[in-house]
Amino acid sequence: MIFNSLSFFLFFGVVLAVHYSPLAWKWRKLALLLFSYVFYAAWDPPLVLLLWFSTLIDWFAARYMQRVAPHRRWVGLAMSLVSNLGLLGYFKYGGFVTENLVDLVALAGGRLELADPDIILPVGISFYTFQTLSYSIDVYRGNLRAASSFLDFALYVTFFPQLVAGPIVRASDFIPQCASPRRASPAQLGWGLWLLVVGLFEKVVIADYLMSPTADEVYSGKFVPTFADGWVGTFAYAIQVFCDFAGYSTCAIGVAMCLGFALPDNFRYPYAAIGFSDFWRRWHISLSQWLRDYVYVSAGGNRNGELRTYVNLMLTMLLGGLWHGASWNFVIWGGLHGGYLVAERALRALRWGRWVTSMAARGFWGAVTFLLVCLAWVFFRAATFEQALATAGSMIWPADIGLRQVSRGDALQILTVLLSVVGVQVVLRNTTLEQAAAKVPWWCFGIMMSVMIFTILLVGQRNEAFIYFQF
Amino acid sequence: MMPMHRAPAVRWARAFALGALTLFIVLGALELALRRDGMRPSIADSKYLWAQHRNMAKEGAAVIILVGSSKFQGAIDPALIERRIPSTSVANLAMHGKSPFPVLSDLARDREVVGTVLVEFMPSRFFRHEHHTVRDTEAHIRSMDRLPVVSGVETAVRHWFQSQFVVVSRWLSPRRLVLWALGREHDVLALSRSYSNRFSARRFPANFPSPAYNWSDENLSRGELEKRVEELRAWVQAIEGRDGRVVFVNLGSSGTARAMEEQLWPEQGWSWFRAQFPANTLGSDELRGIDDVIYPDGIHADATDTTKLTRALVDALLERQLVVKKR
Repeated sequence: MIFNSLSFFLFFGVVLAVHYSPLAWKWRKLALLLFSYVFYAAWDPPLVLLLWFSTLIDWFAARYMQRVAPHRRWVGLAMSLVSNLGLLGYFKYGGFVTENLVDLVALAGGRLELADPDIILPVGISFYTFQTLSYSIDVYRGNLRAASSFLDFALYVTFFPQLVAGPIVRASDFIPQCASPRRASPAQLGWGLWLLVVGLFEKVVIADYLMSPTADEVYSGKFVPTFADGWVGTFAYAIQVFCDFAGYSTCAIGVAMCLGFALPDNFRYPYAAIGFSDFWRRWHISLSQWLRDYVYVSAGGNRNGELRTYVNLMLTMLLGGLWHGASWNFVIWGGLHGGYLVAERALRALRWGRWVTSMAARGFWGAVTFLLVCLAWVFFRAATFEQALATAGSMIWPADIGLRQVSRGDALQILTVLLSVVGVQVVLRNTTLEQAAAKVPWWCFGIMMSVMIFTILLVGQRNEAFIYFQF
Repeated sequence: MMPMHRAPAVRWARAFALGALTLFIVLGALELALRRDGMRPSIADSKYLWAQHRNMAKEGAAVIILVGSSKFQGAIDPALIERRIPSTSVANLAMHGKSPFPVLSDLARDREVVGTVLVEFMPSRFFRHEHHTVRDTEAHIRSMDRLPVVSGVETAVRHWFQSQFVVVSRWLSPRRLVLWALGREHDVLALSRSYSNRFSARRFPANFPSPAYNWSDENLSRGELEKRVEELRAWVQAIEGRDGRVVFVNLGSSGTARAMEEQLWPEQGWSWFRAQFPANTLGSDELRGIDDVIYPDGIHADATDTTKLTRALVDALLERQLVVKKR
């Protein structure tokens, strides 16, 4: 079930009706859990078994770690790591590993014949395995006590608003919320519904209707794009992927808020970032914090000298790239961001702070950041490595400048939306959406809401799946 | 602790009331204006809807199966067929811009499919390579294997909305709405490229370039053409071996499209094709009462001619006893 479907609204209506019924909190929590399973099973019911498996393993692993002496906790952690990463490895990377193994043997002059495993990627597996892993690691480190209620823990793993595409929530943020009955205040309910509309507008209107056709055309692989086609198509994809993913997170936060739960922000105006560490503090925040806390810090972080810090940064970003998908293109995308972060850190050592004090300098570095982020998106979007190289090549060393695949009208549309989205992000850069909203008169919300719903109704007949469902 | 999202204090009750009222007025006014201009609610084609109809064909629930593209979608009214031939149900597998061959091949392979399969004949699909439309159709059929469980509910709800309101028609994007408001009807249709809707009765200008012949696919060589005919023959035999029928229906074309067809395929036209499948073809010359039908863009029927075309098709099918009885 996806947020931009009519069946979701029927489902959500039933969920709200039960959640606001006079039933005891325990029963309402149980209902939320069952609804979450229904939400997930709407794709493919047998895949719920994986969710149960992950839930049970981490429940028992954490309980075990809680019981035993600290030096024996590693057994529980190993159980969680092997199970979750095994699950992820098989379903997400099984085909990739097989394919590369065959290629590797062929490269060595041998011949290996392995049947195509034809594995279905369970939707959201990367998100919920990382979420449960964070719980086990926190318990192992002694930063968190194992949950005392299985129902609360199962709801933490399965809570439907963020189950399939995040934000990746920490147990310490979510489980305490289950302790007392959750009912949204009128302000929370209003803001939650408003966020749901905003998220759908981002997804349905901006990502799917305005941006996706141009991005799809340029990345269709029919032609090698020209310089202008390449940049316009990549700008279109940059906005598409942001509005698609941030749209999902906004919907998730809104839906959770309607139920009285608070979820963490996942995006904070990333295209207004000045520098790449700033970008990663703003883009997919829940994943970048996960990688920071459980990969970068575990590998030593910045505690062992500059060179080791660079290695750790690169390793973290390569893993982050691989998390997105079983393809070398994603690894390269992660590697590029790793390279950007390393270069930025090296620049900082040369007193970077002095370079970005003036408005013009900040604007310049902001633009450089955005353009380099876009260049990395080429590897994220392209279907093959060859296509990515050809596209990036024509964007950097143009052989042909003009527009070929994209019409002037479409290019103008993309650039207008790009400037609007980036402009809004720059203006709101140092504030939060809530702070900005507090300054807007109530009637503006009414008018904006009607305009957004009207546009969603006009263009929302395609119900495309969210891009991040594939990760 | 990660920073959690908190709600700002806004007068939400008032904001939602204003939003709902504005939306109601705007949508209501637009719905009325569109209806006054002759537009009717239309069901948009979708993957889920197609899958539902494909299942109808599989379960033997459908007696008539439509295979084709936008031309069939716009020209044939399945509901009218069901009314005109009692105890008949229609599975509409026509897909906008897609090739009929992978669908026909899929139906031929499926032993559970029995019925009268009506295949839209369009020279560009039959006498050209059209690799891209074949690939698209194959991918479309493959994606049917893993449909979400909820797709049935989604289709039913969507179907209900689309059958009630014009404003949720798929063709009505903001760009087309502006063009419509400016009175540029032809641009609306040219942009839409989707003729599955019951669009207005306005005609295209006589010299309107046909959308079906804009691309540069190559014609099949003689050998490739023979291979295609053999493939078609095998699929026809597979379906007819199960007491089904296959009928290639040529609804004709007009204006610039017809001129282009005559120029592009001077030898392999409808007559040539009919000679290959004499028992399985139904030409526009056999459809009575459609002499005055002009396809506004040369290919696609005007919505007001749908009833006439469907009636003529049903009469011809009944007359030639081409409708298979329900099991």
